[in-house]
Amino acid sequence: MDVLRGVNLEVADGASVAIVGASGSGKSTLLSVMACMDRPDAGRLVLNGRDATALTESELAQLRNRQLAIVFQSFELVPAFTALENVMLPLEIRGSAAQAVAAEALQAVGLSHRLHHLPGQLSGGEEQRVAIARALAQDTPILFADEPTGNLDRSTGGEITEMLLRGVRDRKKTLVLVTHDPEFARHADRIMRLDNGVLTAETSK
Amino acid sequence: MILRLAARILRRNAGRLLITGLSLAVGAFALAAVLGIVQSAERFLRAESNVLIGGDVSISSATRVDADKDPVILEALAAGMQLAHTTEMLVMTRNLNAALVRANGTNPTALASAKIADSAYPLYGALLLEQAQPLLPSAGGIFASQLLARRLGAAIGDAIMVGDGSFIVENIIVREPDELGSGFRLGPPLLATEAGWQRTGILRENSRITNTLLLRFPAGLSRSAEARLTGRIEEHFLEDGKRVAVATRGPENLLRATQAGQRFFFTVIVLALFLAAVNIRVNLAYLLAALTRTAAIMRALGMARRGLAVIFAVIIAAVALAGGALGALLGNLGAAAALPYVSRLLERTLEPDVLTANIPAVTLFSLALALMAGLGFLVRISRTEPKILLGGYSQSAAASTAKHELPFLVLSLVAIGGGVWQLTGSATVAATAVAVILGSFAGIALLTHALVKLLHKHRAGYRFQTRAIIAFVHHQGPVFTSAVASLAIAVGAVSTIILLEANVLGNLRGQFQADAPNLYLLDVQPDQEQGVAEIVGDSWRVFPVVRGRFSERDGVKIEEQGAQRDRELSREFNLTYRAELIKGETVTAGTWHGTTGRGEISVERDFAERANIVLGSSLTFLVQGFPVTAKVTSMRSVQSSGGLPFFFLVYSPDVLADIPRSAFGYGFLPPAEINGTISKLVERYPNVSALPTADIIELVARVVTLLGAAVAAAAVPAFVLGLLMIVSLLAAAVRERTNDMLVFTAVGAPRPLLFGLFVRESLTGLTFAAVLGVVISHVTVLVLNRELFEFTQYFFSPLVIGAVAFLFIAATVVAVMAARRLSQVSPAALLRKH
Repeated sequence: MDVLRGVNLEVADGASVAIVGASGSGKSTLLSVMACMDRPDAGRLVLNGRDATALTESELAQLRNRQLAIVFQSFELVPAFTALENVMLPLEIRGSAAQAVAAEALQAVGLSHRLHHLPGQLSGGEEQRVAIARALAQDTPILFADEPTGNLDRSTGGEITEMLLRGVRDRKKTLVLVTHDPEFARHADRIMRLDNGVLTAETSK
Repeated sequence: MILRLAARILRRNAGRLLITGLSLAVGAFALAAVLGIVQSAERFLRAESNVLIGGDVSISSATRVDADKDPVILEALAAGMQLAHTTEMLVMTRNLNAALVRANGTNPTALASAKIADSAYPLYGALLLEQAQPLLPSAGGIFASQLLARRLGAAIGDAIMVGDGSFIVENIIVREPDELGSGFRLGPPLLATEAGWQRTGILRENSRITNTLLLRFPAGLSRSAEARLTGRIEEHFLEDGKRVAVATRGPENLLRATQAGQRFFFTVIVLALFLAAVNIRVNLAYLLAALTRTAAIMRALGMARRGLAVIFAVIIAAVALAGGALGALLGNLGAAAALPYVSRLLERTLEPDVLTANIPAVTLFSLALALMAGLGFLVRISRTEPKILLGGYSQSAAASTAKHELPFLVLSLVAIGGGVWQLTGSATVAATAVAVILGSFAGIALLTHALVKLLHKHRAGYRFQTRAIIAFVHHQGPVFTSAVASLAIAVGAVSTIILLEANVLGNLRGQFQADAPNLYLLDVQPDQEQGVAEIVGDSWRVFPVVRGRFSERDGVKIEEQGAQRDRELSREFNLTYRAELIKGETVTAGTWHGTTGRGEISVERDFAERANIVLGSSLTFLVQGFPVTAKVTSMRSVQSSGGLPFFFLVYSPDVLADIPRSAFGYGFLPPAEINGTISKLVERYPNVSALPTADIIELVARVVTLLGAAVAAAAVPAFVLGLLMIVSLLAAAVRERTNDMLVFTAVGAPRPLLFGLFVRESLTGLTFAAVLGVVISHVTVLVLNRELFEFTQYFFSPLVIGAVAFLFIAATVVAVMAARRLSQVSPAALLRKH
C-alpha cells in the first residue's frame, strides 16, 4: 500500500509550510521522511542541496542534530532529565557548550523559573514550551512541528502557536508544520493538503 | 468475566510475567529439592533405625554390662529379647607378608577400628561381604574392610598381626549394617570374635574401648510392652552413666547431622526465596507502569476497585501456581538426581518414590509468597484513578516510593521466616536468617540510595554520558535500590560460601604447620611411656587420659537439669591432669591450679558456657563407675593451633593421679621416618594406636570438600536468581529506555552513543552490587573466622573473582544484545503514536 504517492514539495529557505489533512492521510509518514527519521521507498529528499536519501545512518543522525529540529505532539521530553537538561540534550550530543544557551532558550519561552523541574512536575503547556525551547536552542536551519498543539487546550495551544511562530520568524528558520488546526495553518506562508498520500497546494500568501 | 479478562491480560503480557514465573520456579525448585533430600534421608534413617543402631535398644559405655547379673537385662531376657555384645577400639594392624616387607622395607601398618562381636551379631541387617562365606570370622580369623585391606596390601588368606595375635583375613567387608550408626571412626573397620581377640593382648584396664550391648525385641511383643521395657532399660542404665540409644527415636547422631544440614540449607533457601520475592517485586513494578493505563480504562468503563484487584490477583496466582508447581516438580526431579550422591555418602540406597509428596505444599507456599510480594502492586493498581486518562493529570501512580517497598519487604520476610520455621522447627534459625537478610538488604538499599542521591545532586560537573546515566538511575528510585540490594545479597551469599570453604580448608591445613606434631599416639600405657619416648625421640610429649562421664553439677544429677538428651553433656569425656598450662592456653577467669591446687579443675571457656558451668561449680564425673568430684577454679581459652591437643577439662594432678589411666601423646618426626617409627612402635607395643597427621588432614579435607560441594549446590539457586534479577533489570531498562532512546535519536544522537549509554547504564547497578556484595562477604568471613571458628588466618579465593566475572559477562552479553536492538529503533515511532 502506498502511503505517499508522487509527493513533490519544495520549501525555500526561511519559508513556512503547513501540511494539513485528515487522520490517516499520510501526514506523519511525510513528516518522518522529511525529518530524516524514515527513508522513502522511492524518490529523493534534498536538504540544503544535499541528497539525504543517499546518506548513511550516522550521517543522517548528524543531519538531525545540526540541520533539523522537531517539536512533537506528545512533547517527548526525557522523564529523567530536568527541563534544562532536556533543552541541553541536542547540544551536548553535538559536543557544544550547552547550559547557557539552554537557559536562555527556556527564558525565551518564559520558563526560567522551571529550569530544574522534571517533566512530570510540569503542566502540558509547560512541557511543550520546553520542547520548543529545545528545538530553538538546537539552532538548526529547519524546524519541523508535528501537531504541536494537539495535546493542549485551545488557550494554551494559542500561546504555544504564538511562541513557536515568533521563535521561527525571529531566527529566520524554515518551518514545516503538520496540523489539522486551520487557525494554526493560516500563519504559514503556504498550506498544502495531503489526501490519500497525494499532496496538493491549498493556498499560498 | 474476571477470569476471561485476567486470561486476556495475562496472554498479552506473558513476556513481562515470564521472569516472575521463572523466579518463583527457581525458589520453589530450591525448596522442593532440599525438602525432598532431607525428607528422604530422615525417612531412611527412621526406617532403618534399628539396623543403624544395631538393635532396638543399645547400651554403650567404657565398661561392659554384665548381662548375666544385671536385673534389668535379666528381665529383658525373660521377656524374650535377644542380646548381642560388641566391643570397639582402635588398633594397629600389620601385614606380615614377606614380599611386602622386601618391597617397602618395612611391614605395612594401618590403624583400624576393630569391632569384636559375639556370635549373635548382627541382630538386624547383615554384613555385606565380598565372599558369601564365612558369615562371621572364626577364632583365628578377622574380616577386614576393603579400605583396610588396601592399606595393608592384604588379601583373603593373608596373615595380619593385631597386637600379639596373628589372624587370617577370612573375608573382606564391603559394608557393615550398623557402621553409619557408629559415627565417625578414625580407622577403617575390622571385625573379629571375642574368642579370638584374647590372643591380641591389647585389652588393658585403661584401654579406650566402647562396650555396647544390643537388644532386640521378640516378634509379637506389644507396643506397650516394648515401651515399658525400653523405659526400664533407659532409667536403669542412664542412672548408671551409660549411653542408651532407642531405635524408635532414630539414630540420634545421624538425625542430628541431618537436622544440622537441614538448618543450614534452609537458611540458604530463605535467601533464595527472598531474592525470588524481590525479583517478583521488581517485575511487578514494571508491570504496574505498563498496565496503569489499562487499569485506568477499565475503571473508567465501570470496573470497581475490588474487581480490578481480583483480576490482577488471579493473574499473579496463575503465574505463581504455574511457576511454583513447575519449580516444585523440577526440584523433586533434582532431589531424585541428587539422591544417588547422598546415597553414596550414606552408603545406602535412598528411595525417591515418595518425593513428590511435597509438591502441593511447595506450590501453595509459592502462591503465598507471590501474593505477599505482589500485595503492594495489587493495592496500587486497584487504586488507579480513571482521571489520569484526561489531559492535565500526571501518571505518577506508577511511581514507586520507599513507603511502597518497605511493607512488601517486611511482609515477604515474615512469610518466608514463618514458612522456614514451620519446616525446620527452629525459630532461632528462621529469625536469625530473616534478621540478617533484612538488615543487609536495608543497609545496602540505604547506602545505594544515598550514593545515587549524592551523585545526582552533584551531577552537573560530570560528562554528558555519566550525567545521563546518573539521571536514569536516580529516576528509577526505590526499584533500582531494591534491585541493587538484592543483587548485592546474591553476590555476597555466593562469595561468602566460596570464601568460607577456602578459609576452613586453609586454616585447617595451616594449623598443621611445618613444626607441628605429625604423629599422634593413643592408648599408651603408663609402663610404656618410657619406651615410647625412646622410640619417638625428643619431640615426644605425653598427656595422661582418663575416660569419664559427666554425672552431677553442684550435687544435682545432670539428667534432672534437663540434660538427658544433651549430647554435649551425656557423652564420655577425655579427662586429663597436669600442673602447667600448655602453648595456646590462656586463663580467662579464676586462678590456675598449678602444682599446689587440690581438688581443682580448669574448664574451657566456651564449653563452660554451653554446659552452664561457672567458677565455683562442683563437677562430678563417673570414672570407671566411681564418682570423682572437683571444684572449678579457673576458666581457659584454648587457641587451637599447631595441632596441639585440646582438653575441655584439666584437673589438678591430685584428683586423678591414682586412677588407672592411659596416655595420649604426640611427636614430630622427619616425614621419611614416620612409617618406620610406627612399625617399631606397633611391634613393641601392639596396643598403641598411631595416627599420622597427614591421614587426619586427608580425612578432614575429604569431608570439607564433600560439604563444600553440597554447600556450593545450595548457593546455585541464589546465583541463578541473581542472573534472573539481571535479566529482569535489563528487560525493564529496555522498556524504560525505548522512548528515551527514540528522543535521543530524533535529536541526532549517533547509534554508538545510544549503544554505549545503554550498556553502561545496564552495568552500573551490577557493578555497584558486585562491589558491595564482595565487600560484605569478606567482612562476614572475617567476622566468622574470628568469632566463630577462632581462625588466625584469612584466605582469599580466586573463585570469587570467577563468579563475579561470570555474572558480568552474562550481564554484558544480554545488555549488548538489548543495546543493539534499542540503538536500531527508528525515531519515526515517535510520530506514529497518534
